[in-house]
Amino acid sequence: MSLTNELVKGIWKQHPLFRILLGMCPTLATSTLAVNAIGMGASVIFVLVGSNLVISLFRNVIPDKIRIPVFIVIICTFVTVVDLFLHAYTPDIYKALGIFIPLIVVNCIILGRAEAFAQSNPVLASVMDGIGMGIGFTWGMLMLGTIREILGAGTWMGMQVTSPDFPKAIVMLLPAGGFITLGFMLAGMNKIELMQKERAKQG
Amino acid sequence: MAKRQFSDVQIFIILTVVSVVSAGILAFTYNFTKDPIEKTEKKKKEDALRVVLPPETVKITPQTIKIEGEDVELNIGEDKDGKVVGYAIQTITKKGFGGEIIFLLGIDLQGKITTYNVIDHKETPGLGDGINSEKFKKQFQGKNSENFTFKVVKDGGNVQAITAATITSRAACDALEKGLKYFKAYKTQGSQK
Repeated sequence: MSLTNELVKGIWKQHPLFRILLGMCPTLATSTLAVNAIGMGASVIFVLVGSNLVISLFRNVIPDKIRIPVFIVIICTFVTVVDLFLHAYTPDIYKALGIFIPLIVVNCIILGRAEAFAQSNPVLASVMDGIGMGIGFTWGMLMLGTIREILGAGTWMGMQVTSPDFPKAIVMLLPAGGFITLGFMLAGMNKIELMQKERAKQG
Repeated sequence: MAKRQFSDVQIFIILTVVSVVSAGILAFTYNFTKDPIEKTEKKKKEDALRVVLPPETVKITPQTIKIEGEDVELNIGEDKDGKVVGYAIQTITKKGFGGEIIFLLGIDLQGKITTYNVIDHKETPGLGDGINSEKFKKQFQGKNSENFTFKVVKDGGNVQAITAATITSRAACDALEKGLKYFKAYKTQGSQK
């Protein structure tokens, strides 16, 4: 298991959104605009790398019995720090993401990686895992946000991209649109993987 | 996965240490970001007020007045000579499609609406958030309850509702009319003093 492997797996093979399907709630709720994906993605990367680093660093002194409360306290600390800093320095992003920043605490991706990876792997590998998963989460969010914003609002990153006469599918901005987009993304990912497998067989 | 065994006392100590360290970090961050957060919040409020007050406003004085047992926030805008140029009243309706909508209503010296600003709403994106559009806002300009009926056309009023968002439009009417009522009450209270 090389470090590059730990990094890359989160970006495609074990993609947190489209493969392990973790953290769906904040994903569907905040992926209405592409720009939200950047703010949310950056926050998740920071929290994920931070919590993976700390948990992996202290993995030998965290008793098994109380590991969940300890993980949660560590994750909460990071999330609250992010929340305060966003509130202080980027009020627009803070307003757009609202409740979903504090809710990163219960985002299963973070606790999931702590439990499945960081608590039993060395520090560097855990950091790589955090970065990879974070990047995976961010590009997933960006894809969903892009599709939903263009179809739903006719804009991308706030810029008008479709002609004003192009009918806007408002449903794409509503929760239902999130599920629809997610479904197509999952189908697409599966299709690509199937094609890769076919090619490997023939090759 | 074989892990070290810990006694209960050790577990107790570890959890305490983790919590204390975490609290320390949070306290530090809180202190560090306290002032910037206050500043941003203040600026946000002021920016919102500037939109509804006339451009010559220099000084904004917030005031809380009691009207029919309700606390109403009224901001008085003054120009550089200390002359009152406009008012901004916060008015809230609970009749929105998604619950509460908070408006900041700009009122001129004649007691007519200049414009308004939606501070917070949970209306449907693409439909109900049309209350933010200039087209919808414009029809309230220069209106008060004497020359305008704050009801949608469907209910026999003068307000052109937003397409597919009649409930939101009704809520806007409710809030704006209430704002004007507050202002009237404020004016009569003031003249009695």
